[in-house]
Amino acid sequence: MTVDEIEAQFNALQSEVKEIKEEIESDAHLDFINSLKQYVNKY
Amino acid sequence: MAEGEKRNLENVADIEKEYSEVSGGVAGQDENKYYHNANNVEEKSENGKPEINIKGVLQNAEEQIFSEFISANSDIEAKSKSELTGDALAKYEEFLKSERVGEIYSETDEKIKGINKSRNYNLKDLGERIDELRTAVDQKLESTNKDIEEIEKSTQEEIARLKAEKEKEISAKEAEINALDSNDPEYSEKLAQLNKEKATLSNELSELSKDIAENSEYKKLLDGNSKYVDLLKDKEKLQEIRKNIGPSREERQTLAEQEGKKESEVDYGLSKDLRKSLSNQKDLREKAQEKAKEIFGEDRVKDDFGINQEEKDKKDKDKEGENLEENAPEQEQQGQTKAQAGQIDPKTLAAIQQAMKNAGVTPQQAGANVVGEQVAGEQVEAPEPTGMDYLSSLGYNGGDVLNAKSSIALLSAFVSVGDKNKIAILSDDQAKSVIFEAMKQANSRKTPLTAIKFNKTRRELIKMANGPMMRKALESVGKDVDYNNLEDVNKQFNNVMRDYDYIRQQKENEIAKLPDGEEKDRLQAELAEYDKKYSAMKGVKDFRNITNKDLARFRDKVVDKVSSIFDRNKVDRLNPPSAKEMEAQDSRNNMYNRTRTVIEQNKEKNEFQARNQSAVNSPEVADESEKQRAEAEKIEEKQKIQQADEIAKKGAAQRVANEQKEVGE
Repeated sequence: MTVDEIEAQFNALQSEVKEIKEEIESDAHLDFINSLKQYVNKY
Repeated sequence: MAEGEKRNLENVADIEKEYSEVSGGVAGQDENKYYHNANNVEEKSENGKPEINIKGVLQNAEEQIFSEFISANSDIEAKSKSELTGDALAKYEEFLKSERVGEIYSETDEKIKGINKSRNYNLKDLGERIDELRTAVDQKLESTNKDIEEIEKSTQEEIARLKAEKEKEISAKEAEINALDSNDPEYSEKLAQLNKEKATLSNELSELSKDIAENSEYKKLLDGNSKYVDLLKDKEKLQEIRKNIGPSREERQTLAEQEGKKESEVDYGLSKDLRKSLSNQKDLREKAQEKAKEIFGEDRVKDDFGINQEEKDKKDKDKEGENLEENAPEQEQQGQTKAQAGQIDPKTLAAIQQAMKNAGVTPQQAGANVVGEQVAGEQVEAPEPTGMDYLSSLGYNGGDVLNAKSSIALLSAFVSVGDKNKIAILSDDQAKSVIFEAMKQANSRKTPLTAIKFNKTRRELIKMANGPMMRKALESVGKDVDYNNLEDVNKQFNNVMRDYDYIRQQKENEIAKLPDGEEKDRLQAELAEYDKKYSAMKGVKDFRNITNKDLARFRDKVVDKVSSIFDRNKVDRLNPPSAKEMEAQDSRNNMYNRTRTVIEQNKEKNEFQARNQSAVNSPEVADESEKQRAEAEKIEEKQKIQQADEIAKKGAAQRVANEQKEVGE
């Protein structure tokens, strides 16, 4: 495998990792725990 | 590609395919990537992506339930669940128990299972590919280094050859010099010329004889070797890629041991991003369940909601032994036992009551029944809520588990009491142990305590607590942010810290250049002022970087502080309440219970009448009502007569007394 091919693979992986990371983080938004926060803020 | 099958990266066609399928994010071209639909059947989606994420699925479910509820109850006017109150809310809660909501629950469960399965597959796939690429890069680096070494070796050999040639040339030149005829009229000129040439050759030999590191000839040869130059560039690129991929598991372990750190602290690059995603994905299981409980009601949501069987098996395995670096479980907590229902002793309840009061929790906030009511013609003042009232209002119903909400609320109440500027950030097990310890201190007989189910992660607690801390810190440096938007707060925080670090470094560099003296002192004082201005910000940054070890120490401090809350006279925490205090407490409880009973009875009666208004107006009931009314009138009449008699008797007695007096006089 050439270095260019390795680099291309790395770039591809990088963008894929970024994609899935963002996808999962979009679900990890604080909306999920807002109701819980309300209980904490209440006190 | 089926699981377990090794990806072929040697074949250029495969590599090109790999590259094209993922570049630009067009993942649908990958026949090996599956996105699972609601029925858990493997199929390719059109663009290779799931249509919505877990949050979207849950939001849709929530909206669907609400919309169907409103359709079935046209008399209710509300735009969202949060607008429902009283009867409407009660009806909604009934609706949540219906079969229809059960269907929506099952569909939602399947969709989320599908999304999770797809993500887990992709994460695993990415993990394998990263490992394979790391190996490919290492192998390529090895071969590149070998090629570089070979060229360097052959170049050194070339230098040696050139050197030998040069020596030969010098020898030949010397022979020429020796052969000169001193009688030749041009002898001097020729000699000079030959010596000059010999000197040049000697210089060249001298250059060729230098060490490789300083040998300009050697360097010239290498620089002129295009293959060598390309290899160096390749090496640089590969090293950069290798660095950006990050260390393997074994490398992390070794680095961590060498540097005395945790594996997570020596991780970086793509592998770190992936591990973070894996960790976030793991956290999502519980988050989704908590959200589902809000939407579908606590009773309906099962432990395996959104979780596929293999995930569930892995989760159970994780619970047994694996130590996730961010949440180090406290081993000593595993021996806690569950209490029998209702076995919280009066002193503990009193302690909770005090803690809530100290925390500034009003009875209304706790949802206690605090309104005085008319009972049998008397105004009854509702006594202050007891510890059990507070617990009940937080969801504790005498069962053997405090749920996450009540645990957090209790914890918040406990830790906000001592020092409002500090918030204890604890792992699940640490939080449990704080409450456990605090309650234990309040209970000198060490009654078995309630086990607390506390399933929020340390990361979430940090996030929640960091909100108010960060806001305060940003306020202290005059930053204007949208405090309702925690993402904005986070972003502003990071920006400010980055600027602060940069400017600070600049100032330090300036100071370092100066000799000791007035100017240096002045700049140091300026730097100290600068640090002081940003001390709140720095405090938050340090807090976020807190290690578990520090947390454990902090937790111990919090335990001490919380334990002192239960010391009612703040002298000796183990002093039980006096008999008089207990009696007063019981008397309040009894009065409260009696009041409650009567209030509850009246409430039930009113509700019955409201529900059966038509029955109340029916002839039979009307007759009954008429009878009761007539009887009430009779009683009233009788009372009036009695009162009149008494007054008359009093009056008569007074007249007699007056007469006797007159007679006496």
